[in-house]
Amino acid sequence: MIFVRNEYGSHNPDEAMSLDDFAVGAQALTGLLRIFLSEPVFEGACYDAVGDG
Amino acid sequence: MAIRAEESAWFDIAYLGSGGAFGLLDPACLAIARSDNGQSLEATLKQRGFDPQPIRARRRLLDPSGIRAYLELHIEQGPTLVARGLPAAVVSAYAAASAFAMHAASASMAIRAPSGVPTGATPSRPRSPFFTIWRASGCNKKRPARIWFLTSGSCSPTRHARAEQDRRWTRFVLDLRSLSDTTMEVVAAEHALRRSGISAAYRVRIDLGATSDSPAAVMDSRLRARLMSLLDRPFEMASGAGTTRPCSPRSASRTP
Repeated sequence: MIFVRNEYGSHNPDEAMSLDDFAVGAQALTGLLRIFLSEPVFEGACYDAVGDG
Repeated sequence: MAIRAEESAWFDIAYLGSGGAFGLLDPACLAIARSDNGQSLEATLKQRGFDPQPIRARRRLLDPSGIRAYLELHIEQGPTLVARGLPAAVVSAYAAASAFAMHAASASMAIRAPSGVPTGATPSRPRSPFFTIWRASGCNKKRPARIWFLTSGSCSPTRHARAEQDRRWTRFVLDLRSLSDTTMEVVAAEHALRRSGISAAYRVRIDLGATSDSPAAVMDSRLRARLMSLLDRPFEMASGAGTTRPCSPRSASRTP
């Protein structure tokens, strides 16, 4: 998950996110999708890590 | 894939959307009432044109073997990124969560807080007097070596199964978060122990309800490392580690 800066919390009528900040997060997300296509290290599932942090 | 209702604002069920998609929900959850109108999950699903049968049969609607990873862009619900002047962060882990739903009543018409702050009539109050009671009891001063957070997520007048003519019940939710399962267990046990002392000190009766629990989940290290490399100002933080603000009835009414 990628967090994007947001003022005044969530589920809040005053919550506010700038599109510039959204773009930073979206670019990281799309960058990772490109890595998925190019790096064999990501073959297989990546969702099995659960435990006491 | 498209899921919703991962948060428990409407139904006191952890990860309702993904749990339903992967056939992991207890079918008993279909009877859980929606927080604002009391309608069951089953009735709500039917009303919205969805079939509750897969939940009843614990049937998967999505096969995890065909999914490599789940990626999500999400607004931060707390103030950390604003305070640090950062546009985005990589989430390292989801904190474990336990929501303790309780009902409390005094013999008078309204619950009294130790500070004299009235409750019951002010359901949108972001920090309830009950939070003050728990804090004053010393519950959140223990074991500073481990990080954990306690939030009062709801405090509102309610109908209760044990309602009596001379008592006015208040629904009260404590939300506990930590990355440590051990800390979660220790604090939950202390919470239960303190109930009797608080009841006596403030002359209230407290019925403990069921908790909704979800374990801590550490994000995949390979995904985290790659995402960090894609940020100009890389920063990692845990989700739900005390920065999630409580959802007030006022704001919940605006959520679709």
